Amino acid sequence: MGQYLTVKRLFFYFYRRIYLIKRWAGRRFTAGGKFVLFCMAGTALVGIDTKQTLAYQIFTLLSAILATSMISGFFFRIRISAARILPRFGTVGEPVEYRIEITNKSGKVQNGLRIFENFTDACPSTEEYIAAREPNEERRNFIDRVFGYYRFLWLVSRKKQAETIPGPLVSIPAGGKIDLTLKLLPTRRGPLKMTAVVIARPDPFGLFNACVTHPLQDTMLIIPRRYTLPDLKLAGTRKYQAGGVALASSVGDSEEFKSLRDYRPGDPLRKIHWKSWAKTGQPVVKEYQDEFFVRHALILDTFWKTEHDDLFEEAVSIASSFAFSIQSQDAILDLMFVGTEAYCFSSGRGLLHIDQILRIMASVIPCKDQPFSNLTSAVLNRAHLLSGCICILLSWDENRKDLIHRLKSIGVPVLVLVLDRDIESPAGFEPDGMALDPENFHTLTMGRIQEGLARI
Amino acid sequence: MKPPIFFLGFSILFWGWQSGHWVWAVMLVLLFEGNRLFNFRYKWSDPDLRRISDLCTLFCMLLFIYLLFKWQTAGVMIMLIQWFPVLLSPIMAAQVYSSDDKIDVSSLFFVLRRRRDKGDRQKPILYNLTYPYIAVCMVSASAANIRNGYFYMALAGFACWGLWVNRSGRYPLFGFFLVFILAAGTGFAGHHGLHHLQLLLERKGQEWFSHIRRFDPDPFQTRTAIGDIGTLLPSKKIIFKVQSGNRTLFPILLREASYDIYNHAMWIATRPDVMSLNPDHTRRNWTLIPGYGFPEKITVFSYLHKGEGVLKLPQHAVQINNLPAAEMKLNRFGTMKASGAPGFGVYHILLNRAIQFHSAPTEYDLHVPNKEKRVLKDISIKLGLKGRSDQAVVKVVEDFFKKKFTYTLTQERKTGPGTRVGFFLTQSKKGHCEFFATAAVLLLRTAGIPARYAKGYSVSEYSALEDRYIVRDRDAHAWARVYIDGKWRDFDATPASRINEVNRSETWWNLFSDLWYYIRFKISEWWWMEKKTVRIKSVWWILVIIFGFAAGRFIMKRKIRNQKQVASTQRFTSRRQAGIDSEFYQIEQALTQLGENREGSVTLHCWIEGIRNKYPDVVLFNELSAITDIHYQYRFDPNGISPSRRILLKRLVKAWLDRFKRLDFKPSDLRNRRSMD
Repeated sequence: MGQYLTVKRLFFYFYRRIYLIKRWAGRRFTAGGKFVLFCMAGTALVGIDTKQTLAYQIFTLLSAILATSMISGFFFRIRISAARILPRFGTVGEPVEYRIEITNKSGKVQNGLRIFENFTDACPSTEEYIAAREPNEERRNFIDRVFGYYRFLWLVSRKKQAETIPGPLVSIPAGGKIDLTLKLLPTRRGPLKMTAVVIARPDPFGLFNACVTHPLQDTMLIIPRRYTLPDLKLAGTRKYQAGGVALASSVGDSEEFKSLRDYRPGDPLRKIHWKSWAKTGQPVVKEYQDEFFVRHALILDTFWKTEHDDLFEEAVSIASSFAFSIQSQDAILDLMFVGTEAYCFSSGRGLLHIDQILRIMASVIPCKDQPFSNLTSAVLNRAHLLSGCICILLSWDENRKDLIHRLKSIGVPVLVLVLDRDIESPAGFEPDGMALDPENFHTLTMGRIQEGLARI
Repeated sequence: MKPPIFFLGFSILFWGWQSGHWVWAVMLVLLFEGNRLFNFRYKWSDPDLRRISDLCTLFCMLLFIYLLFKWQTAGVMIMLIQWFPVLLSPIMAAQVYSSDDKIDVSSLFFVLRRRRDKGDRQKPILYNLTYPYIAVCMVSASAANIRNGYFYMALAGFACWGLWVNRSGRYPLFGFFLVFILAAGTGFAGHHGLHHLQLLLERKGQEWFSHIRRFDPDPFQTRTAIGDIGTLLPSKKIIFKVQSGNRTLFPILLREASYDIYNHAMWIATRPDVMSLNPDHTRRNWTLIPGYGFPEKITVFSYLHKGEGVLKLPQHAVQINNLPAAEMKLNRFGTMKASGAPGFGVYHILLNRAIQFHSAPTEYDLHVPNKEKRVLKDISIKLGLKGRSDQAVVKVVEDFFKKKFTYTLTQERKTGPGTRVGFFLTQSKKGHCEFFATAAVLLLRTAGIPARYAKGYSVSEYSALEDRYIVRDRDAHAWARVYIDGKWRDFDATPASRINEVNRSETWWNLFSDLWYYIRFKISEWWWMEKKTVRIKSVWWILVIIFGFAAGRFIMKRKIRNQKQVASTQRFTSRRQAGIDSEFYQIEQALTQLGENREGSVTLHCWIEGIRNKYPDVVLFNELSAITDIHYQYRFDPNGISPSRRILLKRLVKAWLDRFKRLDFKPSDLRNRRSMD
């Protein structure tokens, strides 16, 4: 076992080196430079015997040109200051535009520059690599499974926060300042940490970029991708919300003043209307109306073994879509999930704003160390307040069926959405427990989520 | 990236020029560059591109099979590469006549197609294939292997053109060309260096492997350089030396081994019939042909690697003297191999020109490979060898080679069908000694005269300094042995220009290599000739000298290091001393007198900050931060402080103290203020 781990660590060491080289080359070599590198590899192969062909002459010429380009990079000097003006949020998969101000502090005009952004390192740690298992890895061939390179690539793609969309070439006058609009494409939800601005200058042949890195820390929150939902008609009735005045101060049937009436023994002193007593000489109390309004629970199943899994990310995206959609209705939404403990965040009607809910959604992680029953008990404790439940489930096993069954048994209307990974052969879950209510049970297949949601 | 106008056309013409496929090149240029005349464009679908790619693959396979059957050599891959511009032209035509600027490359490669079909990669890989096709043209042109210098010039021109179009706009025209000329010059030097490095490595590799396997040639078979392309670069390494009182014997051919069967650039000794020779009572003398006198003598000074070696013998050798060996073997071709001898041998070869080692010819001495027969027969008829006497045939063959052939160490690629020897005899008529020897043997055999291939050295370089003949690696030679009048005679068909050609490759630095080889040989000779006790003594002396030198170096190094440490300490101390006279300490003293003592662990900044917080209304204390910064620089900056800042520090401190004194602060004032606070 120990030897197996050592071999895995060794593989990881090599993969990390490859990743770092690829990242370095990806930024340093222009498209032309990469083509020259490719040609060098080809001519090195053909011209390996210098007596057979003249391909070695092509190889040496290209090597000399590229070496000259790289050496010229050592002569690039620039002093800059920079500041970013970032939007508060970005959404996964949607390009984000932001502004950046760059001041050229050197006494020389700088033409033909490119601007790159440095994000936090997307390379996984050794422990992450050893523990990770790529989704559907069992379908890969034996060699791929043993060497685990695709697993490494998958982890990198999962951890990669954003891609820079190449901007235009930039010219900065000596001592001058420019205001640029750059674009980036977030690829992962959560805080996007930008660590530095990189100024790249091409060499005379346009093959190799000389780079100067200017440290500049900024953070932007990337919220999950959201789907378009149809106009939802969620089942359920208004429920009495004890102590709900504070929740509903201005909208709907709030716990507001109704009328004055004579004091009856047992009325609390705080309800006495002192002014009326003074006028009438008899104790008079204020009468209030109880709170009844719609309250939905959005239950997000976070019980999943692996982090960065597409299935889990889709579940979070769907939950975000519901949270965003229900906010526009006059209802309270309780977002419930289990992380390190069972959480419930209420939003709507003067409670948490949608921004805050989306912030929470951006930070949800899978729960790997607690039983599903924690979620069940948390939901059932609040079931008496709920008008209805939207359950986004990652699988359809006995625990999950039990939760739905118990909710149904106490009369809470439920909309169940179960995610299915397999595109080629969908599982086609049987709506056990939902047999009498099949229109509120939906299986959403990966890659066809939007299609599935449209059918709700 | 799109190339400049006509760049593609010129690249194809360049390929046509180098490869000689002019007709194809012109057709391709018309096809590709002619797209400017037509507006017709097609949007290629994925299945279309797949079919085009499959068509190209089919063309490649068919041509490969055809070439393989036609030439049956390993060089068919190079020939195939030469045809790539034609074979890949359908893909390029698709690119040129595509309505899109870029083509999805993942449709062209089987692996990418498979990945896409499996759903691993959904995104198309879009690429304009013009530059890759141009690169293919260049590589194909290089496969023609025309070594005339124009290739590199044209290549640099194309590179300059392509880079010029895609260059960064921040550089001036002059700068771009200057840097490009620098790069092209470096590339030129680089490719010369690379080529020579390969030749050097090949030679060294052969030498090294010959050391690993055996120091001397294999008496049973030898591989010739017939068929190798490029230039042979024999070194000037000294292999052995020869001394003789009779200089009329020289130049002389000293044979190592003979072979009788030729097959695919290999000479093989069939049925060698090896027998052991018996030494005389001294176990140092070995008689080859007993019962004859030996009026002449040559002495050979030669390495015997690990005490083994094939002896270098003239054709009239009768006896070997002064070679203490455990065993001496002799085969029927007259090849002698010693074993259990010293690492360096100085042996005498006794000669008698009237006699030579007899080895009756066999049917193998008349064997001609089937592949060579047709060409040899044609030449034989052309030379009219049939019906002539053996001596006359030898004379005609000798004239044939010496008049119509030239010696060269460089071999070009064979063109057309036939064998390498056939190509040498009918087309190139240039070659090195192995070509001449092999061709002569086969030609004589075709004329019905038994002949053999001999390998050894041609001894001709006399050193007056040592009164010896020096035999170098470059003197390695091959010749024919012909059986006439019941005797084997050496017959060297190689033209006399060989020596000039071999010497032509000499350069000025050969002087140093000559010296090195001379010293090396001398040391080897001395080492093996001296007595063992002297050798041991010498080794001890060398070790003592080396140890003394190393000890001296170590002591000197320590001394220097100590001196450096002292200097460093002095510098450090002087730096410490340098800041100690800072005027800031006067301020510190003044404040201390007022009762604001500074603890040793409190930094100046913290101390001053504390005083400022205590007395926020005293503006004078606010100025102390700036003075402290300059003081710190003077005190601790390893680069020191500039004279102007030093003066500034003095002035600031003085001004501050004056104002402080004018305020007339007293400890009691401060104390009162504190108590009020």
